[in-house]
Amino acid sequence: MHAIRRVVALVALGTMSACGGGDDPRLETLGRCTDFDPVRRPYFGDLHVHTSLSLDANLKGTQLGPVEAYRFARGERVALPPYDAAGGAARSIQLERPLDFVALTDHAEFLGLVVTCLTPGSAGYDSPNCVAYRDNPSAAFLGLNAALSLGQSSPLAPAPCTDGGCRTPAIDAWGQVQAAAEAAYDRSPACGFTSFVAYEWSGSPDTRNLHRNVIFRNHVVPALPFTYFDGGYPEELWDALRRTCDDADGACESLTIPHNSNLSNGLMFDQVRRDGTPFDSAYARTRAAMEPLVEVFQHKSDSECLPEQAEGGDPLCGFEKSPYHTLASATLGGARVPANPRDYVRDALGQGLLLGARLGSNPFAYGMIASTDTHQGIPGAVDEATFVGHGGAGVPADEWRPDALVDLVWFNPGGLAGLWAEENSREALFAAMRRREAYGTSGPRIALRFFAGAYPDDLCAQPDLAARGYADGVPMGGVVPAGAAAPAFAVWAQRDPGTAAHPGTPLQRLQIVKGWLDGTTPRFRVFDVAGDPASDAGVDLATCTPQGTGADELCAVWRDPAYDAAVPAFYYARVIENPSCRWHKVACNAAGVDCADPANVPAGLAGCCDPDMPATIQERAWSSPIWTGAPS
Amino acid sequence: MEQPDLDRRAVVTRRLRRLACFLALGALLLAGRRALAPASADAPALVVEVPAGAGDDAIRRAIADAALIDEAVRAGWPLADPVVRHRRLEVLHTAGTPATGLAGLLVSGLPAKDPATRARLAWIGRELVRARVTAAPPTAGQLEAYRAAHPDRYDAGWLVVRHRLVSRARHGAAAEADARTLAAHLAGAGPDAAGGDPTLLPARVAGTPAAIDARFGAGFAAQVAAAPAGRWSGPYAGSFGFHVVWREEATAPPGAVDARVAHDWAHDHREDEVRRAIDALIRGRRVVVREVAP
Repeated sequence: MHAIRRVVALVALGTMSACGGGDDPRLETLGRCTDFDPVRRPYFGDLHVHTSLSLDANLKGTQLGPVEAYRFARGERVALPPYDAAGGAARSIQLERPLDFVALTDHAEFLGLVVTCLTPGSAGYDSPNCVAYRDNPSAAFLGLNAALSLGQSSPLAPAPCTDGGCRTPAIDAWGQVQAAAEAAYDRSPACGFTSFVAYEWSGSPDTRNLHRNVIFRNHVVPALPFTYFDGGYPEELWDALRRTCDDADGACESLTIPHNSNLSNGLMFDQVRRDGTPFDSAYARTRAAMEPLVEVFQHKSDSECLPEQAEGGDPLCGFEKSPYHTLASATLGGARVPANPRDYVRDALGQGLLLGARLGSNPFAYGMIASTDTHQGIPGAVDEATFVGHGGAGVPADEWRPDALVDLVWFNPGGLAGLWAEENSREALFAAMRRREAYGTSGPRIALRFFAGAYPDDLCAQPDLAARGYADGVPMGGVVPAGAAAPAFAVWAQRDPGTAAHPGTPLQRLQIVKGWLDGTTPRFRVFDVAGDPASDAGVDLATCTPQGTGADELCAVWRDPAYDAAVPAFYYARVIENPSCRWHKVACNAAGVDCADPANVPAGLAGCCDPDMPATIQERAWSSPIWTGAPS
Repeated sequence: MEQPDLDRRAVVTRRLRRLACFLALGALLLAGRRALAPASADAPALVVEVPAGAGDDAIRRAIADAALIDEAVRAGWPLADPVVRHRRLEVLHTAGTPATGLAGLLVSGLPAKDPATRARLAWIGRELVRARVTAAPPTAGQLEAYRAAHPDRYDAGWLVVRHRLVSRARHGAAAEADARTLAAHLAGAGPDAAGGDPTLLPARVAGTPAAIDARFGAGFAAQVAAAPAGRWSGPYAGSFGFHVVWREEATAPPGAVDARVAHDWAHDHREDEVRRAIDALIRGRRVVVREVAP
């Protein structure tokens, strides 16, 4: 009876939300926060987080739900699997610094199935899939996810959820997501924390990843998420979002953020529509409007670029690369394969210039963010030294052992999204995403500003750099207006201030990456604009202690010597830290692994001696591009 | 003359038969009463086996699990739950011939012996209890008490700070001395006075000490919290150099956490109600704890 009442209430709430607007006191305007900064400041958060409501997290032992995930993001300690028979946790974790914002993005596809299979007495509880779910989670993980690898025209929700069979429990789960977001959101003028209602659309035909996170501007959201089983093509997702949200009456607004293009084997940035015909102008406009950002880095590797994707090479692209290019191979392992160059954001940005010139609108005009994609419900757990694994396609959360690496060695702790906003509110942060004043970091809280405009060469010495950046030009994510004079690019970065336990690593160099059209061929080049590329900074590998010098901040005003206002181009900034130990090196040192004596390396620590895995990395941040000479 | 003796024997026999029937009926009624009574001093004991030397916590958990399993058994889940059914078949196969295994199961009782089945039934029992629990809305007093019990979560403090930075990157070893010079220059000036180096740090911040430390470096907020309000003071060391600071007299904005307290209370209180309901299950049973060899 209570369940029925709850469902009726949620349906009523959803209906009211869909029809809402007007006098809803929860709709905000900019300027409600005590801490308001007209020249904006960077807020750090995680826009890609799975909790126990996601099938692949739940089946692998994750028990933290939305409420607990938000508590963790705000600084509370949480328990982690595995749990003993009495429910005691083997591990726990706490962020050294709370996050500013979080979007929980549980997989839309199985929300109803998870609730159905775990609720005794529910319709479908005794179905074979639910029995397998509870009795043999590993097999269920593969079997149920196989439903997501069917062709785009034939995805079918598995029983007992076929033909809408799990609609009621899905509404229940979606209600939990919304209630947790509402409770976590600080609506007071303190504006201490922002939550976004969100979900993940998990299309993956033939296990080629097309996943998108859907982020909503406020609490007014559709009655149910749109799933891959509802529509197998991204344009169907955008159509549904427009129909049920953006173009509907009320205050609903959404955007989508694709991720793991590195696991799509060419599909994420493919250039054909549903019917196999090339993109047209309408498609390009829709994609540009619905999808302003791309997730360039996360737990399952980097998607920025390959080392050969720049004139003269770009060795810094050899950073956290996946040895696989589909979801199946990433999950099941096996022989490593060469990367597909079409899977990388830099290539897509270049192809976008070409498409923009042809179609009048650039469907790949992406700003950049990073996030974790944690499947343990621990947003923002990005520290290399304390990495606990993120589950999902990696090591299951409940299979942790003290004598093994916490994750498959090629996975990493993931990154953070940085958003330049006036205040920490949904309204301000969503607007930052929409205008692409956003950037990604591989984990550290590096501050990174990037402007293009009419600036003096000594701008870095001016106390009002940011104000002049906006007044005389455009920030990251912007477009230099046609007919403007050759812009100066002002780029300014500040290292992570660090914590008592983990001081921030100094910066090594600041770069600008340029992409332009040479006829119909996209080309790329990387410029070092500040810092010391020849720095001798390094790491004592025995102790992971950083060595050498670096910078607290780097700033430069740079002009492109080959600038041509008639040539479509993009520019983005990349800031590079001094080297530091990768997570597995920290763990391997702690375990006393000696790779010179392979016979004595425990099986669970074999990854310590993987010749493809560097002991050190150079953490970094990527700005969103600024476009010139091109429609966007 | 023999007829009276026969009559007397018949009467005695009849009376003995009635007595036997009475006793048998009484015994049956007594057995039935014992079998049907839910809980009383005479009820069959819920026997909980714990390893010898187990601590109080382990014993409490074992009792709770036993009560939850009993609840699931009473509701028929050993037969209804497909996982338990599947597990029973597995045990039958591993126990030898089906006949032997069945006999073994009948004698020992699967729920009592098989750890996987026990864990499964305990979980079902907990879900059954959870489904029955409803929490009354909190009173204002309860919310206030809840908030007071979680000061780290809701009352993290509040600082409003303006600052001017003397950057270590730009001033090197002279940074602290240059910051003292700046502090002297700003003494007596208003809160909008110019000075210091360009920085990506915001010129004015309002937030919790944790939020301020996240931007300025560990320990910065604690120094600033002790700074005099309403004038420039310092310098104070931060992650990027030395700061001359103007602390504003301010308290946290009202209403910052009310909705969150209410939601968190409801979430946690539901778990409290589940624990209370399990305690009630235990009280309704006669529990006998038996130590066994570990």
